[in-house]
Amino acid sequence: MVQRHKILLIIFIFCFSIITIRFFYWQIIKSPELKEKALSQIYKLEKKIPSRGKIFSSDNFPLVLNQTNYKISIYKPNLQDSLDNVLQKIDKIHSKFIEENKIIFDNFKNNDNQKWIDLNTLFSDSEKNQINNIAGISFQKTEKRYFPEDQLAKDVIGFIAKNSQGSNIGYGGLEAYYNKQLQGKTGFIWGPQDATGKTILTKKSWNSSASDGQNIHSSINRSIQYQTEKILAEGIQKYTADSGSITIMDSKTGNIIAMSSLTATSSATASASKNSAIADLFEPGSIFKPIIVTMALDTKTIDTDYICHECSQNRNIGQYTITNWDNSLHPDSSLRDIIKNSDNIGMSHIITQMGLKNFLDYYQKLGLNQKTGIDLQGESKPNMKSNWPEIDLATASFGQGIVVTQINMLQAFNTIANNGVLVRPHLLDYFSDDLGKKTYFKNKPETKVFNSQSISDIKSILKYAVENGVVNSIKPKDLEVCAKSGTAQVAIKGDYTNSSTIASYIGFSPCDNPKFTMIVTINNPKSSPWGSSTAAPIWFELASKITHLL
Amino acid sequence: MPKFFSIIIVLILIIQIIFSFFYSSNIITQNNQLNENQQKYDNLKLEVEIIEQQMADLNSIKNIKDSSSSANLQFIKKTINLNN
Repeated sequence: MVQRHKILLIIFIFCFSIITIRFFYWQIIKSPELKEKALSQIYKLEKKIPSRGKIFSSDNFPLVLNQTNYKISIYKPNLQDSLDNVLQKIDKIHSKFIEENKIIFDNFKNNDNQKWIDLNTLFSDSEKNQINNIAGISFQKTEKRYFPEDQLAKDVIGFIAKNSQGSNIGYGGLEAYYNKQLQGKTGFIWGPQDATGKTILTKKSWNSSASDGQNIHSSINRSIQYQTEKILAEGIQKYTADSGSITIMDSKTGNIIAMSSLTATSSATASASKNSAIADLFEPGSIFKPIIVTMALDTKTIDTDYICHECSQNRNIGQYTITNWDNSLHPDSSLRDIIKNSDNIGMSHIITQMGLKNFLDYYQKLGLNQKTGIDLQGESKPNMKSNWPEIDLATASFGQGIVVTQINMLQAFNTIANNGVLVRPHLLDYFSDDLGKKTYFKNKPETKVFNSQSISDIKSILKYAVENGVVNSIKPKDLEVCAKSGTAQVAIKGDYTNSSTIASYIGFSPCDNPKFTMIVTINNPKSSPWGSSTAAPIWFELASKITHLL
Repeated sequence: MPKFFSIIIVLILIIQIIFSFFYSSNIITQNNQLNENQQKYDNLKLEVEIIEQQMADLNSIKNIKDSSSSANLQFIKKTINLNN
């Protein structure tokens, strides 16, 4: 009997030891891992996605809004009706639902192992409310961008898409440049969850609230932007050009009023991937001449009484010969006639007199060797060469051999409009949040590049050139304009050809106290290569329409 | 004496149980309220979003252009001289 007790005791001790060892294993050795698993089952980390900020035009009209949609999921085991009947019911509420997902549904029906599907079809809130009571169906909230004006200012706005981490981020334009401000701050809630999976807020919970993205109030004038895109599309078609760009800025503040880049193929639809006005580098051609003349006047290299005595013949520099665009000669041209006739020979003599050092000094002051810093993603940096032989300096006087973006050129030319003061072009007027707090844009300090006398002189020359030049016949009579046309040859593999040109027209109106500065560039117009007969008519047509709105 | 302590311990236990019930029910009520308010806020936000979208659609240049074939969207430039 005693023996039996001993055996039983040993068995008990053995079992007890095993249980103790097992407890030791679970409670001591595996403790951290199990604690973590337990916490993950009890506690839940919930992410609160903020709404992305909206984008408004200058009249507070929403160019970009958010649209809440719902993605649908079907869980087969929870369906109380046959799958076909459920799909038919949904199809009656959201037309073409079955047609759009036919292949997915066929696979889903035939595969018994597949219990669950997520579909990309987007449902509106009212559609969701009608479907919500069908068993086995669940919804996931999603937000997408909505454009009330459709394609208007698309290349300025940019677009959003998912990055490699699956988050929505902005690409191109304002969406990318101000992505941080637009996307807001993601919120997190960490706390125990109830039976339905909802987080319960307790003293142990941790909560970091989400804040929606800030709204952007841009300087884009909706009506002018519409007219700009319309007239540019018509112009590209009329002059059988490859593409074109127009940018209009407020001469004093640097606010961009309208900006559009279109290609012949896209016609009225802007490219979402590239904004040519800030991304494409080009040789400005003769529209650069007024800037060189202003430099020369400002350095007192020449004055308004300047006469070009060397203009009676073409200029030879080494193996190169500088001629005029129409091979004409204008002996003893005055300064204003050099601009009016777009005289390459006269310009080359002026820049030579002024010298390379002065030229490069003003070139840098006008920001032509760097990005303007406009608040849009995708701006290209102009190339600046380090070696300047005499011929290159001479050709720079008529805008050949130098490359800038359209926005660079506009910023530099606007310095003439703005009484010699350089202002940085920008699109942001102010940010606003849902509580109505506004944060206004602070531009870089303005820099005075040219003195007032030089500006007064060049304005008088430009006005004379417009009123006495070839464009006077197409200029609206009630419009006072200071502008210059340009036709730049395009270098292909290092050689200039006549087969491809960039026609442009740049100017401001009115000459004194201007309201706007505008640049029009038309790439490779086939009906006529000249800026004065392609870009200029577009400029005048648009100017006559917008001047009443500013 | 031991009887007294037993009664005290039992009472404390009862109070603790009652308090924990009250406290947890309070948390649940507050959380339910919070969820309800959050739901109302989300619904209102959605309503505002839909109205904002409808208003923008109605006032868009695109809508004016599409709804009236005769609309040429040219700006009115004529002025009236009030001096005469």
